[in-house]
Amino acid sequence: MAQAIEDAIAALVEKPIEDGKINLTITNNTGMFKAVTAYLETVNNKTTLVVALSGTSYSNLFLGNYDQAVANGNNRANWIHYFTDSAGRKAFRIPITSGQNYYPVVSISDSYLEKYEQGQESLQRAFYPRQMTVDPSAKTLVVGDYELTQSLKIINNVSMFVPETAVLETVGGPNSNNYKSNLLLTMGTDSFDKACYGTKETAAKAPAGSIYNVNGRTFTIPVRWVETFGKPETMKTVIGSTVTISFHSVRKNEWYERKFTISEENGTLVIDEVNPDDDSPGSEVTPPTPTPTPGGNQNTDPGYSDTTGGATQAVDNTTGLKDGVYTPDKFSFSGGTGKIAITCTKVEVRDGKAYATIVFRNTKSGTTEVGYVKAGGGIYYCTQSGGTSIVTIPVELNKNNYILAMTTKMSAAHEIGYTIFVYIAGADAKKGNDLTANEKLDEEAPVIAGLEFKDEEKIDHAEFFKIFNYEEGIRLLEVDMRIQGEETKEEGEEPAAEETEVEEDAEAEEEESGAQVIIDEETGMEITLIASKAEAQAELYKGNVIKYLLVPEGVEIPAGLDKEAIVVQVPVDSIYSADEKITDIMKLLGIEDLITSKPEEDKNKEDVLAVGDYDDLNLKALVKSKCHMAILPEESIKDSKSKEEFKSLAEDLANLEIPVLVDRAEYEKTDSAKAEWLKVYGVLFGCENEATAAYEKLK
Amino acid sequence: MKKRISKTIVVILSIVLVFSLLLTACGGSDNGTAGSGSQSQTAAPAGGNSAEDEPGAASSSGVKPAPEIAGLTLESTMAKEFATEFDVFYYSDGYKVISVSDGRQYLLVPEGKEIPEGAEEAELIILQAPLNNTYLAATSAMALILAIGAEDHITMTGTAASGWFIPKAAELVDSGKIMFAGKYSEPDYELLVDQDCSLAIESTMILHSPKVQEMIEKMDIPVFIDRASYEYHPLGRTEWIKLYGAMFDKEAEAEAVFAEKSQIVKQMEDFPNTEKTVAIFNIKTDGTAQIRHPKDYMATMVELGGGRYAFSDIKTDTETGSTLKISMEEFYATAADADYLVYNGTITAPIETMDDLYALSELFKDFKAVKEGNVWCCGNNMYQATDIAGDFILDINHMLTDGSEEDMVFLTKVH
Repeated sequence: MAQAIEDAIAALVEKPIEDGKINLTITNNTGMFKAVTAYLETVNNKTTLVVALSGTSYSNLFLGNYDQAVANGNNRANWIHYFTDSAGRKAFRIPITSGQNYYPVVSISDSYLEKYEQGQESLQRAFYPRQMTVDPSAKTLVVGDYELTQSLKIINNVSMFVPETAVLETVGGPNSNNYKSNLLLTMGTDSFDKACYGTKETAAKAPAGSIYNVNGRTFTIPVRWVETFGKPETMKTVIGSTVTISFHSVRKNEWYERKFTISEENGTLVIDEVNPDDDSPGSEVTPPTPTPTPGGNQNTDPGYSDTTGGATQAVDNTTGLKDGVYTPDKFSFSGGTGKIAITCTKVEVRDGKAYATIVFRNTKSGTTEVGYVKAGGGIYYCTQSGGTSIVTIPVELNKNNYILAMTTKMSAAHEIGYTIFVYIAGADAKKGNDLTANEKLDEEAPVIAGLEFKDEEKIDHAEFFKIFNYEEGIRLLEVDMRIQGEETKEEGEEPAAEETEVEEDAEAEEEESGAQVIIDEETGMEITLIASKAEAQAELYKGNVIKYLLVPEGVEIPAGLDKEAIVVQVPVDSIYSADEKITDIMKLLGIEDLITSKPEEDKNKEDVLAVGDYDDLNLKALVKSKCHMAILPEESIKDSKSKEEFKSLAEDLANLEIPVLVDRAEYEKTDSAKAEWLKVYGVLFGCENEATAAYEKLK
Repeated sequence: MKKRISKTIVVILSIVLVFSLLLTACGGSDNGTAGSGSQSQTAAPAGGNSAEDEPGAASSSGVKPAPEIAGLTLESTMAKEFATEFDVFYYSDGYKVISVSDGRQYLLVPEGKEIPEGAEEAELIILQAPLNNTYLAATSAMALILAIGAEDHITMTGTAASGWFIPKAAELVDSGKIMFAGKYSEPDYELLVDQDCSLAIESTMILHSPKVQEMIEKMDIPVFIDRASYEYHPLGRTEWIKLYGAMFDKEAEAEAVFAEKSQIVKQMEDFPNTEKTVAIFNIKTDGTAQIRHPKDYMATMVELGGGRYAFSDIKTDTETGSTLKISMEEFYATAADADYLVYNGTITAPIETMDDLYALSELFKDFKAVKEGNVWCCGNNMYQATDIAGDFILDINHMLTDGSEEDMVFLTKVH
């Protein structure tokens, strides 16, 4: 137990609670931190509040407020660690001080704590301020988000300015969706209708969003705010320093500057004149991005508890997709309490920008009341229809978007954060990728936006493949698929090769311009259909060079790349070996076990499925074997007829998401070059050391 | 000699007898190769058929007649009241053939029974009962399947939980009883094969992804294409419940549900038309108006509900269709005088207030229906609620008779 707390208990003189156990009736005011059972236990005049939480997200609590938790830092001796109660819940023993009923408590998020330990987040990102109010005589416990209201004593040194009351109101902490920390300044007259940070000149030019309108006679002025949500270290505060705030006079239509100094410790607000000769009229404040509330003003209903102070970041919703209406290929969301289901019914692209239509529905009640959604820095009001709330917002396709949905439950508005992911396979990757050039092997590593190039694998002898290494272990494997008669064209020669190229170009053009608009019979919507990922991949197998992007497990690649290269997750764990020669290589490298299917039965290996020769594959059996890559021998592309068959097979396999590679060692000219193809196996199957060793021996 | 002759005569007579028996059994215009046009009723087969004296709905010419199947005898045809896009033929021993207006025919082979010879030559798509582990990628069929209690057959879907507006469906996917197996255009083949998928029910959207259909079939999974959306009569769409009843051996349940739903139309038969005009439309983001085709089922529902579809006289390029695009001027010319406006929220987003309407076009302020406060909106869940789509007829009727919003399923008033 923390020293400070022990001292506090030792200081106990009164013993208002007798030894024994008192069960408490619980009121939970927030969904994010809920007590299920609670009791007061007094032993030897020491009282402990034992609380079991409904959720499992918190393994530690800190007794104190947010600033104290930050000051305590990673000193876990001062944290209260959970124990598992008889009901299997995470429960905490919180020491109670006689005479004190109110306990600020910081819940420490397990997931953010883990991220902190991995160096991804600051420690304070895990801190969520809460509070508990216990009443031993009434046997009650009220649990909720941290809410502090502190009346300030006003020391007014200014004439012609009549503030009546000043209250500091804080709800939650910098990590809370509903965080706010405001000064509520109630004036004695109706003389002023607007307030704004800065000098009178600044105020006169300030945008509407930076101006705080009076509500009745009360100004709500933020005094703490987080500049970047999710980064509590970017919290800004005016408390403790002197700032200039200007007020707009209704009658005179002019701005008047004042200096404000708030001291939380002393509980005072000092208001001073701004001396025109003063060089330092008060620190410059860049006010927070204001968050509009519905209707523009705070609700004056005294029963209305407004926890709507969140903000979202601007979003880049430009896309390379042509204007039209699309249905997403995939949509997922996370966040909230699980009661609200979110779906995306369509994405409209207008003037090159993407807007998603999002529908909210409460899965339990079949209705929902999402009043508005904050997204991309703006606020969008929903339409209520048929038990659902519908809104259209700008989204960045194929990326996580963070939104806030305001739901009204029991007359209190709450903003809940969600992450949504709208995926359309056709949304182009950022400009700047060089992957689509496929006439020949790249001289230099292609530029891939979002992936840093490291170096090129040194290939001594082989001429028909190259390997480029990018960041995070990602590699680009290029295979030159040209056969006799297709290699470097001389002018006037090889009309056959040229013909196929022209055909392919024409095909490619048709594909591109062929963004079809059709009517979805079921919904009646006009949808723009674009080439699917499978179709794009099938095209990639038709070039002179096939490019494979080898991505290690757990590594994310920038969006859109799966339409520009064959993406292969490495190390590949399940292979179709079309030829004994290939099987022999895998035996040599010690990875024969990765083969899960072959043309014929293998008496020695019962688990290997017989799926037929590559020119007569039983696709169903191949899928059943969970094949993740097919490796074909050089003879599969020995002439132009075989090549056409290969492209057709590749198309089928692309549809099944099975990449296919041709081992071209046989086509290489020298023995060393042939042996060097072992390196390809090395990078595909995670056996580079064995591959290099074998190559060194054989070359 | 005499004996021999009598024997021969007996033999000949027997042959003749057998022949005539054969002829009466499988010949005749009443049975067997019934062409498009009449439906007929004979002995009720195992499946049970409905009202014998109903005149029935003629099938569209795309629906192929009952095929000849070696070893099986055609016994009867399902009687239908409104649907024209399918037929169900009942054969001996519990075999059935579902024939759909795209020319595809599906042979339902009862559990444990064999596939008859020649079935593949006749291009029949084999559906082997009990058809468990079905992948459902046609959202409109879900409501019908739920209504007959056949949801146990479905274990995979092309729509994630959050995409279902039908609570029961969302629940089934949420609980894991039905798995999300990828959108219709990108199914998870590995999952389908792992789960021993026995049938993929697709909408006509699959026709835009022919390669996907091919791949599914290469996985030995038969593909059934739902064409309910091509029915003109609103209850024709709902009558597809009988097709699914035949598919999953729930004919009795299907009959019962359908009888209940067709009551709606019968109720309305005696209702005198109010002659009030109703326009159903939505405004696209490019400012053009999209209206329902005059032969479309929603337009039909207006008539059945006791109103007149405002655009019934509009010139169209196509005989049939679901929606038409027209300019605001053309739209204004007709709809400005319509008695009622119904905004179609299934295509674009629904509207809630008059302001929402004015935001689409200021011209709406001049509309008669707007001035009289008769603007309504139908929600975005209609396309999934196929079993109760007919209730829209009642909604229209309520709307036309100043009924209350509480009694309506799909319509909400725009204030």
